Amino acid sequence: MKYEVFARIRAGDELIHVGNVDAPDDRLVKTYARTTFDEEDWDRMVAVPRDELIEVTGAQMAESPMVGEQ
Amino acid sequence: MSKSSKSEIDEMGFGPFDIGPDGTETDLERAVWANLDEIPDPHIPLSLVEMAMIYDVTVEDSVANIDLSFPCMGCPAYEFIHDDIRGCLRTMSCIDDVEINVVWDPVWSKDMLDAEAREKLQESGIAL
Amino acid sequence: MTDDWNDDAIEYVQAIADTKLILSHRYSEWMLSGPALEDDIAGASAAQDEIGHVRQLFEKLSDSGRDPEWLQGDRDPEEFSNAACLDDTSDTWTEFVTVAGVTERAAWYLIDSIAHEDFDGLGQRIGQDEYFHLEHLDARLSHQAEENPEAVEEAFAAAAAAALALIGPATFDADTDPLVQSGFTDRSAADVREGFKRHYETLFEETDVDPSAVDWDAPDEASWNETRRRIGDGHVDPDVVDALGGVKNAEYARA
Repeated sequence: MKYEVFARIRAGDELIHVGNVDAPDDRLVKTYARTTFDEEDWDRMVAVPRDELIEVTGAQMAESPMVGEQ
Repeated sequence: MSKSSKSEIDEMGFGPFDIGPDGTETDLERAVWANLDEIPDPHIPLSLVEMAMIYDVTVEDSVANIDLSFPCMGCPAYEFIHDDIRGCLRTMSCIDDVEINVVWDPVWSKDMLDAEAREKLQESGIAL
Repeated sequence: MTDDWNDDAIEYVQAIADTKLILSHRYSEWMLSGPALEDDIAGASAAQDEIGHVRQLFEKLSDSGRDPEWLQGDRDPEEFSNAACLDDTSDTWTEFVTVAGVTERAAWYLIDSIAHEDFDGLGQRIGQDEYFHLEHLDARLSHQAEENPEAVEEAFAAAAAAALALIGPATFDADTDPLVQSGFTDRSAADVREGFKRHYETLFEETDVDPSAVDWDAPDEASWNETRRRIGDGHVDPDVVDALGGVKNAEYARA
């Protein structure tokens, strides 16, 4: 399962996206994310399953009425 | 660049931690602190003193006793750092021998670094 | 500082240190064979941490009279007091994760139990490393328990028996455990065993692994070797002792 990883260096900073990691489950992703992104001594790091992300952007165009309904 | 060259040795301090010089040092002990402050950490552009790895220094009968700690217990430079300290202090005319005690109480913490040390690390692109 | 350790205390710390020493060797054998690169990185990091712990424990043992060269590996295989489940290299990843998990946990519980001032700070610092090791190993173990419960159950029964022997017999309670009596530890083998058992019952709760396959009463105090903290006279292979002592590297350096 793909997870998106967010982290911050200092308490109070915004969490920023640092990358993604593939892990078998929610428990192992903790070790996998820590070992993959170990270049900083993070204040906080979280991982979010990619499937749980809410799509905000998308087709930016008003819906057309379907052909045949006219 | 080192801590002692920028400020008086009396001002060396490590915040709330009971480590570092406390103002009761003899002149010789101050000289030992100043020399230790010239030894670079092998991984990071700070001295061992700036890295707050030297907890205490005493000199008795020309023997320097150094309390040394490490950020990481499995430090691969463990022996190098021991050798650097011995090599550095044995060049001092009033020091005949060096005893190094590795100590873990208090446990080393990045909170022991002062503002100047943190700034140097940030300038080097190292986040702690 | 350590001149007040009695023989029981020295043998107790020796068993912890030897277990960590052989464990670091087993980590190094598996650190290119985990199912994911991240497991290998975690294993390599753990191997280095374990060697760091061993270095400090050997310092303490040396201060209390043990010969540094003997400690470093100038001794026979049967003089190592490692947990018996580390005697042989694991055949499978599942077995390795199980063995590493239970021995790391048992060794950590034994260190955490030491009340002697020589372990002030030292125990805390080891505990900081163990948090990450045990988090990875428990995550791996519970994942393997989902994937292959039969293999985990079999490996766990064998490894837990060795870990329980390392911890000490169930008859060592607060009134009889000699280390508690001398003040070196603050909790008995019986208490540590209970915490160990409870941990794995919780870990395997949602899986098909049955912790009751373990003989939770073993070892019998009468057959327990108090020096090597195990049952029987098994030991690591002499090749492992050579590897730990860097015998082949030394020959190469002289050439």
